[in-house]
Amino acid sequence: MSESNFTTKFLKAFGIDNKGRNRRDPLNIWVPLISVGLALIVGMIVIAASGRNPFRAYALLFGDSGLIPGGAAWRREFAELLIKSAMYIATGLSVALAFKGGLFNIGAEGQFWVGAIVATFFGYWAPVAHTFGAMYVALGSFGWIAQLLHGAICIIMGMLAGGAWAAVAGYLYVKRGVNIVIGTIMLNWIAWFLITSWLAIGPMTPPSQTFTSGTFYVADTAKLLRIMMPTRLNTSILLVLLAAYATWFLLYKTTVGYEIRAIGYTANIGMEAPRAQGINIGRRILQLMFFSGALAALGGSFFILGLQYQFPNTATMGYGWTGIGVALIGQSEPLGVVLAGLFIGALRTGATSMQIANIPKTFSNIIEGMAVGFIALQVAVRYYLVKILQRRRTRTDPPADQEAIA
Amino acid sequence: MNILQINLTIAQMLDYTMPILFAALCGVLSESAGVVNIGLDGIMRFGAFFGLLGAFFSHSPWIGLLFGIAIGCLVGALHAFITIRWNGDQTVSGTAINVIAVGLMTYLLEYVFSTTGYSPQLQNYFGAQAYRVHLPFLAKIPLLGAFSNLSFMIWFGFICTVLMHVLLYHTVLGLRIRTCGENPKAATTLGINVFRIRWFAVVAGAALAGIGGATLSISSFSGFSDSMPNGVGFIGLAAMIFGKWTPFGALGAALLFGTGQIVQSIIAVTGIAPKLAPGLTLILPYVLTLAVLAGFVGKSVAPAADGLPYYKEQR
Repeated sequence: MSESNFTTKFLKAFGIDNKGRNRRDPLNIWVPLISVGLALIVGMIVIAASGRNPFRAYALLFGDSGLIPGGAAWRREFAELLIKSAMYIATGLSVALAFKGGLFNIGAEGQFWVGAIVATFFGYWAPVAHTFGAMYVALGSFGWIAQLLHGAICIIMGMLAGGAWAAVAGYLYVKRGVNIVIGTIMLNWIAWFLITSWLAIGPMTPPSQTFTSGTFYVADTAKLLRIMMPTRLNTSILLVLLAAYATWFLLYKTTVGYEIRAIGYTANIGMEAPRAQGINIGRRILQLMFFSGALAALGGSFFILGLQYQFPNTATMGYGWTGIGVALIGQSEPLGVVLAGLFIGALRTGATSMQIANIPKTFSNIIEGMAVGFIALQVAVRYYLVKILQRRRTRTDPPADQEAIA
Repeated sequence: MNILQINLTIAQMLDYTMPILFAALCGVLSESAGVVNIGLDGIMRFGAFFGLLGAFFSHSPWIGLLFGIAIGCLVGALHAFITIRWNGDQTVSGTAINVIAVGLMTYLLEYVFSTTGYSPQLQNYFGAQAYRVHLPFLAKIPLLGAFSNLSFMIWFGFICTVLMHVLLYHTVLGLRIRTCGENPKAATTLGINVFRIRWFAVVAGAALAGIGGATLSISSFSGFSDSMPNGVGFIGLAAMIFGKWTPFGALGAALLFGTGQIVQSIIAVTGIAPKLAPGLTLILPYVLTLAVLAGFVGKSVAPAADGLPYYKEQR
């Protein structure tokens, strides 16, 4: 039983044992780890097959990912890692929360951009920006209060808008029976085109400039504070950790969370148990989609208030899609999502350095996609894992033990 | 606008339509058998790059088309392996294919051609005069004149639609495919091998998506660009739903969405309506699809067992 003892200890170290499905299946934690490991191996094969040195490429990838301390540029890389991770953790939490309620919110992408554009709007909109600008001057050395309030308003408005956008899909699902995957995919593209082909090139751009400039810049009071000065690191990582804690609290310490999980556990078998218990399923699903969208929008507001300070015309899709990977690798547990988000953030940070070895920075997409693919194949991964464990056990232990793993 | 311009516009509209149509047909076939394939955008990206690769090195678009079909089958087999052999989540598998396609095609573009953004342009592609299907007797007739000088892929799209309709509604295999999508348990009772039928539907469907991708890079355009397919796969998904999961419905929806695209580019080029933002026309396919799904305009219903893995032992 040495393997499962180790697994239990490992789980306990992260405080996620004896909860929900983990108690039944200690393999849960190994599936994402093995998937990522296999994905990294496949990535190496891809590099080797194209006649390049995989070890040099991975040395660059992980050396400059910000994970390993030391080196001249480490502080900057570490900051970049955390900035990127904050956005991926936000979208990852969004997808993970919906998963817990048995819903596949593939629309974190659209909700992310809705949050971003609304945060931009409240960042530059004159009535708000001028009020807080005047407040900043009036408060003197307490000017940070104005910064705090303005930032909070932008983020909250963004989250409300993103939540509302996701709730549209929730409404269509609950009231009209529109499949949540299809609904959120369609809303993704509606949001994307409305924002990038209308708002960000028309009504929200400075009139004197060409359409290539992006929107107005947000006021200084709306920008997130920087917390590690020579670098760009800002408070987004702290906020997202808070959001992760809030998600965990919602799921495991509140009635709403309990009901959401009850719906999620029975989503494939008709949700009769929660219905019999008197849970208002439609209402909970609407709330769940709202929370989920708000989390994705939080990431969108980080993108604007912490990084771009305007809605740029160069924005490209991908944060929400990555969030799906983050949620899957993190097994939809808030802590897992944080770790997975940090890992993906590290990959993305290090991938820019791989260009030295002639490897495009989209290489990290290959790893992510492969990891998600292996998670989709988890039945096979589990099957072979159990087989390997069984073979080892029959060699060392008497066969009576076999029942425990099956 | 004179008659020549109208003909040209119609031909251009068909160029926009065909990739959407092939993607939609992929969806129709695979979802009729009960397997959701949201990875078709990624499969199209594979098809677009490998189609170009074949056409570029053989100097013949026909080889490019074969490459597109082959890579489509291959990626489709991967999707089938994950979702049918191992009952993996179909949406997760599709997402994986989309994400891998983004990374891998950029990687291969850089590796094969040492360029970023765009591949070299093709001389021999289906859009070139030498490879067009010439029907001179149509040229004099108004409106039908547009069909006198089309790319082969456009006719191929129409043919595939008809073939798909015949396959699904007039053959035994088609009946079996639809049974697997509606009620796999009943299909098993009748002695149909649900897994084999689903494998066929997914792989053949993915081949169509591969053709759709190749259509983009070796017919509608004469090269691969890194932004391909630019969401065409998802418009195809929308067209499949808007067409109520039928081949001719998909054709109608693809034509409608293709017309939307051409209207948008006419507005952009001629500046007829400068106040109308492009975003407002671009969202049209998705809004219409949601409206149809929600039952505001007609009602579109998916096959009953769509998206559900099939377990033989489960009751």
